[in-house]
Amino acid sequence: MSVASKKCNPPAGEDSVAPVYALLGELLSREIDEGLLAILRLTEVKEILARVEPDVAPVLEEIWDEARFEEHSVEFCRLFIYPGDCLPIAGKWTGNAEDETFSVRRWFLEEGASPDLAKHLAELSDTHVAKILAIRAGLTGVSEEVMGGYENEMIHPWRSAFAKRLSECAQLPVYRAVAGILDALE
Amino acid sequence: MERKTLTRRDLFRVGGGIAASGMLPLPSFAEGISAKPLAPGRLGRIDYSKAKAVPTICFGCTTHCGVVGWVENGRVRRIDGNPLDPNSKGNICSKAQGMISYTYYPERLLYPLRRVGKRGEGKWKRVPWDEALGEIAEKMRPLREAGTPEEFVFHYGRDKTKGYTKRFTNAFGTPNRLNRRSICSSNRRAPLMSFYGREFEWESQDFENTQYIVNFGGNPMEAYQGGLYMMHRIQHARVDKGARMVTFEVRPSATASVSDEYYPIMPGTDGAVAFAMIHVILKEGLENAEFWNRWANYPLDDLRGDVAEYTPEWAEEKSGVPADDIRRIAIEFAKAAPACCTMSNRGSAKHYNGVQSDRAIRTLDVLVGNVGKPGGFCLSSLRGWAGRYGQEGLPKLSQPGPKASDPMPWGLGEGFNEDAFRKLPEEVQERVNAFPEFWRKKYFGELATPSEYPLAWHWYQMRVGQLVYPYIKESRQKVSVYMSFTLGASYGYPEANLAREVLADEELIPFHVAVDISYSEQAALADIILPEATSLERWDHHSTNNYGLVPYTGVRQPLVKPLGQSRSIQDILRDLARRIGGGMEEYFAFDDMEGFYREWYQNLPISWEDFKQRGIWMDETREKDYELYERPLTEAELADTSVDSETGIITQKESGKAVGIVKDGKSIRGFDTPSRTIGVYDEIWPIAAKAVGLPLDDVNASPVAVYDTVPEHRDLPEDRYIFTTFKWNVHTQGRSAHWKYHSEIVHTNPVFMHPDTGAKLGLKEGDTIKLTVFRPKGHTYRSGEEGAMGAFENHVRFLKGVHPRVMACSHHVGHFEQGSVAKAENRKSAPEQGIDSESKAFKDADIPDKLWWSREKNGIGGGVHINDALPINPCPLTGGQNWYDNVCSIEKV
Amino acid sequence: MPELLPWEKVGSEFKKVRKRAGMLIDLRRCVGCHACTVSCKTENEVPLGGFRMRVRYLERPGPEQSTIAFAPLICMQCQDAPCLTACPSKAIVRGEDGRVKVDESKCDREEECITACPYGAIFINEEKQVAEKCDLCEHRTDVGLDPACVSSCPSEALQFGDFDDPEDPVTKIAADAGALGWKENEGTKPSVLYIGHEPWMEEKANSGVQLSEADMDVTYEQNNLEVGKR
Repeated sequence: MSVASKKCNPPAGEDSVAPVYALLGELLSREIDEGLLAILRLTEVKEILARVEPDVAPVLEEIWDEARFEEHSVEFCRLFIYPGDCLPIAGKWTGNAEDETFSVRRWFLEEGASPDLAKHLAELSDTHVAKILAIRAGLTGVSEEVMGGYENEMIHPWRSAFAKRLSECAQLPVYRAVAGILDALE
Repeated sequence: MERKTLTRRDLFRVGGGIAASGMLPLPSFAEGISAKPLAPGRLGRIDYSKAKAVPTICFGCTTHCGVVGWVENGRVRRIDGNPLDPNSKGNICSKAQGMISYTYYPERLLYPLRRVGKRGEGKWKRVPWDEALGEIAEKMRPLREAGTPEEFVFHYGRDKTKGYTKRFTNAFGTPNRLNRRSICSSNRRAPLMSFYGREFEWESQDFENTQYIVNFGGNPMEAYQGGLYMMHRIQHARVDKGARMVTFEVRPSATASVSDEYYPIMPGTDGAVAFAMIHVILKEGLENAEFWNRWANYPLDDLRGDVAEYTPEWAEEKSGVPADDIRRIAIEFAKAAPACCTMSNRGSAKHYNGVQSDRAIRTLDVLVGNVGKPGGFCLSSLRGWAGRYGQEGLPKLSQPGPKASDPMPWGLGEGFNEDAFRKLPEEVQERVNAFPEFWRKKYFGELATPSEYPLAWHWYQMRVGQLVYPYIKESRQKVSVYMSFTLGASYGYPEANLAREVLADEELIPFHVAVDISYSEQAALADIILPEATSLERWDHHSTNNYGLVPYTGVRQPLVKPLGQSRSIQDILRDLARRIGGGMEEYFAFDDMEGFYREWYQNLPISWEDFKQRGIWMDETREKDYELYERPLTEAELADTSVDSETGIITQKESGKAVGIVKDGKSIRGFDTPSRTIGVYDEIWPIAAKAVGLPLDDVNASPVAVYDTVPEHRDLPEDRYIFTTFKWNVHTQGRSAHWKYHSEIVHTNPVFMHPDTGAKLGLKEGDTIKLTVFRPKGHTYRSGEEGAMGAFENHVRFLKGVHPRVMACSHHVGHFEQGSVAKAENRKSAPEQGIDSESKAFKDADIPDKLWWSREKNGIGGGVHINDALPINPCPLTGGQNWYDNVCSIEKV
Repeated sequence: MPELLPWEKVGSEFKKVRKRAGMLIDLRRCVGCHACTVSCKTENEVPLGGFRMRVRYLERPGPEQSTIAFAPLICMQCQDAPCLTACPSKAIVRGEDGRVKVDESKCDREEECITACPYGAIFINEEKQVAEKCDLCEHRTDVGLDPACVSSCPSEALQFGDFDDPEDPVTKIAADAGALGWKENEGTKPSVLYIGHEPWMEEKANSGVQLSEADMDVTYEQNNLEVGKR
C-alpha cells in the first residue's frame, strides 16, 4: 500500500486523538518541567489522568517545588534511561524473541518522509516508543487506511505489554497514569 | 486500585482540550507520506544496491584492523574487512561485528547522567551537556588556578586517540594520565625496549616467510595485540608453505590446538625451556656467531657460561617438557634460521620471573641471527610518523598544533615542581632524590611514575595501573577530580573490590566523572556519567606495526551520527577545555573535528577525499623493513656528527643523540639503543634494583637474563595449583559481555582443569568448587601475607590439554553491570566486598526471553566475577601484573 | 575513471553464474575464531537460540591427544536433500545454481524438514514463524559478494564456489585434498565438502548445527552438565 497524502494539520475535532499521542510522546521522552506540568493540569487532561490513576489527583493539585521536579526526573531516569526498568524500546515489548530493531524508520521506505520533530524527539533512536507515538501525532491529514495501518503495525504490537510493565514498576502516580492512558488507546 | 477504562470519546475530549490550549504543537510531514508497512521485527536483508560501504578502523579489540562498515538507511548493518589494509588484508574476526552490538545496544549510555543520592546507589537523573560540563569545569578550574593541576587524574582503559587525550592533560597541566599498561604487557615490553630501543616495544615477526615458530604461551589465534595480523599469516605459512609451529602453553588454546606440536608447561617456566634451548644451540655449534659478535653487546663466551647449568634435563624437571623434545626443537629452530622466530606474550611474561624469561626468549633470536631477516624476528615502525627510526622518508603526521608542553617533573631545584614534590611522603622524596639524574628528570609523582617501579617509566610511561587505588587509599597523593575513560578497573583489575572501595570513598575521590559507552561497573561509581560516541561514530588517527613490514596508516571515520546525545571523547575534552578556560582553549580552537584530522594527515601524498575513501595509505614502492640496522646513513644524516673511536657510536653534535654506528668502516644505522647494538646485557636492571632496595640476587635484578623459580612456586605443596586466566576469541577484556552474539557463544567462565586432576580432587564435570587464592611471595605488594586472599565459586570443566597443576578461567563474563545481556546471570566472588550494585531491574526478571542461557530460562547462567580474588601483584621494577603466578587451593562444594 | 574500490564491485553485473553452488571447508585452516558464526548472525539477523551455522569445538578423543578440533557446521546444500523431499507444503526449493532454500511464503511449520535433516541445519524462527536455514546468503551472491561467513573467515578455511565447474578453485582443491562430505553415508550428496574431518567428529557433533543437550563443547555451554547446587 502506498499512499501519497497532503500535509495538513486539521482543525481540532477531526483527529482529536493526535494530541494525546503527542502528549504521551513528550512524557516518555523527557522529564516533566513547568510546561509539561501545565499541560497535565489542563482540566480535561487532569480528569482523565485521575480516572486511570486516582492517586495522581493530589499530586497535580499541589505546587511543585524543586524537590518534586527532581523526584520525577529521577523516576524518569530510573524507568526509561538507566537502569531502564521499563526501557522504552518498542522491540522489547512485542513478545517476539529479540526484536530490538523494531523501528519506525522502516515504516517510511522513501527517503525524506520524516516529520519535523522537536530535537529531543528527533535524536531518539527510531526504535523508541516516544518517537513512534509522536509520529502518530503527526499523521493527521492522511487517510484512515494509512493511519490505521500505522497504528496496527507500529503501535499495537508493543503498546499493552509496555503499559502493563510501566504500571507495575512506576513508583510515582504520574507515570502510572501514563501507563493507564497508553493502555486505553486502541 | 482498579483502573477505570477510558472510551474513545474520553480521548477525543482530552485531545480537544490539549489542542485548544495551544501548548503542544503537533509534528508534521513536510512532504507527502509514502508508506509501505513491512512485517514487524527485522530490518530485513541488506540491500547491497542501496547500502554504502565506508572504510574505518575496527575497535572490537586492540588490534585495530582496517574494516568497512555497510551502512543502510543510516544504520551500520555489517562489518567486512578492508582488503586495502596491508596488515589485515581484508581479514576480520568475530569481534568486528561486536561494534554493531555495542553501538545499537538498547541499554547503551546516550545521555549525560548525574547521580542523585549516595555514590554507587544507582539513582540518576539526566542532565543537559551544558550543565554536566559546567559542573565538571567548576570542579577542575580551581585546581589549575591554585597551581595544583596534578590533583586531576585522568585514568583510561582503552585510549586509541594517539595523543589527543594527552593534549588535554598537558593543557590542564597534570602529569596524571594513567592507564592499564602494567595490567597488560609491561613485562614483555621492557625486555624488547632494553634489547631494541624505546621505539620497538613490540615486534613484527615475518610470519609470511617463516619456516619455524617457537611459541611460548602466545595465543594470536584468539587474542594478542596484532593477533589477527599474525593469525592469517601463520595459517597460510603452515598450511601452504610447510612452516611448523611449536607451542608451550598451559591449556589447549586455539593456538595450541592448531600448532604442529603442543606441550603443556608448568606456569612460569618458559624461561627454563628457552635457556635450555640456548644451551643446546651453543653446545651443537648452531649459533650464528658472526651475527652475535657483530650485534650483541655481550660476549658469547659469557653467555655460554651463563647457560652451562641450563640443560634440557634441568629444564624438563622445572617445566615438564621432555628433555629430548627441547633438544630437538632447539636444533630444528636453529637449523631453520634465519627463517625462524620466537613468539611470546603474556603467557611467558606475566610472572615474577617473566621479564627475565622474555629476555631469554628474545636472546634465542639474536643467537641464531634471525633478527630483521626474511622469516625472522623483525622490527617495524610502531607509532605515529614523526621521523623516528625506521620512519625515514615517510610523510610526517602529527596532531595539529598548538600543543601544550609536558608538565614539569617533580623534584627539587630549578625546572622542577617543588610544591607537588614536597607533598609526597618522606621516604618517597628520599628515594627520588637518590635517583640518577636521568630518572629525576622523568619523575612525575607516585601515580604516574611510581618510584618503587622505575622500569615502569624508564623508557616511557608504562605506569602501574593496579597500584593506583592502593596508593590513593594510602594517601600518597591527593586526588580531587578523577576521570575514568573506558576504564573497567572496578570489574577487571586485580582486587577490583579495592578499586570499588576507593572509588566509593568521597574523601579519597571527591569527584568522579566516567566517560563510557555502557553502564559499566566503573560508571556505576561516578558522580557524572558522560556518554561517549562509539568507534562507528568518531574520528581517530591509526598507525601500528605492519606484519607485512611496510609502515602504513589509516583513519577511523564516523559511519553514522552519534546516537542520542553521545559525543566523541575528542568533542568532550575540547568542550571541557573551553569551559575551563584559563588559556586551555588555545589548544582546542578548532570547531570542525574532521578538519582537525584532515590537518593531521595533510602531508600524505593523496588527497583527504581519496584517503577517506580508501581508509588506508601505504607507499606501495617502499622496501620491507628487513635489516633496518644495516642501512647506511645518508649524507644528510651524517652531517655534523662525531664518532666515538672506542665504540664506533655516531652522535649528532648538537643534540647529543646517537644516530648510528661504524661497522667495518661503514656508517650504518645500527639499533635504536644508546649503544646502537642489541641490549642483551643491560645495567638498568641492577641500577633500578639498587635504587629501590631490591636485593641484587633477586631474579629481577640481573643485568642479563637468568632463571629462577617463581618464589611462591618453590616447593609447591601437592594440594596447591596455579590459577591462570586467559582470553577467548569471541570476547575482549571486560567490555564485550553485552555483545549478544558473542555472549551466546561464551557466557560462562568455568574453571578448566585436567581430568586426572579432577579425579584426584574427587570431582565430576559440572561440579561446583570453591577456588581460594593466596598472596604471592617475593618482593611485591602485601607479599607473604598468610591466609586466603580471596575466593570464588564456579563450576569445573575437564580438558586433557590443561596442565595437571593448572586451573584456568577467563574473566570476560560475570558482570554485575553493563545491562541485561552482560548480566544474564551473575554471582560476585566470595567474600563479597565493595558496593552492592545489583540492579532491581535485573531482579525483577526483565531478562529478555531471548537469552536462552539465563537462569530464568533454566540456562546455565552468565559467569562468575573472579577479579576480587586475584591479588595485586606487580613485578619488581617494571610493575607488570603477574597475573599467572597465583597459587590456589580447590575444595568441592 | 578511477578504478573501483573492492567494496564497490557490488551489483548484479558481478554475479557469477553457477551450476552447483557449494562450499569448501578446510579444517586444517580453521582456528575456531567464530568470525563466520557471528558474521552469519549479524548478516541474517538470526535470532538467539537458532543457528544457520555454528562452529563446533570438539575435544580430540585419544588419550594422548590434548587439543581441540574446530568444525564449522552448516546446511550441507545436499544434492539429494531430505528436507526438500520431506516437506509436505513443498516449501523447500532448489535454486538455479543448485542451492537449497526455504520459500517462507509456503512454510506451514510442519517441521518435517527438521526431522529429516541429518545435520540439524534447520530451525524454526519464532518471530517469522517459519523454518529457516542457510541459503548461502543469496542476497549477497546475487550481487557478486561471497556469503557472509566466507567473506569473514580470516584463515581461508571457508571458500565458496561451483563444484560443477572443473576450473573453479574449490573443485580443484577438493579433488587434490580428497575432500569429503559430512556424514557421507547418509547419502545426501552434500555440496559442502570438508578437508581434514575425521569420523569421530561426526559422532561427537551430535545434532550438528543446532544446540543439543548432548553437546559437550566448551562454547555454547548449556545445562547439560550437572552443574552443582548453585
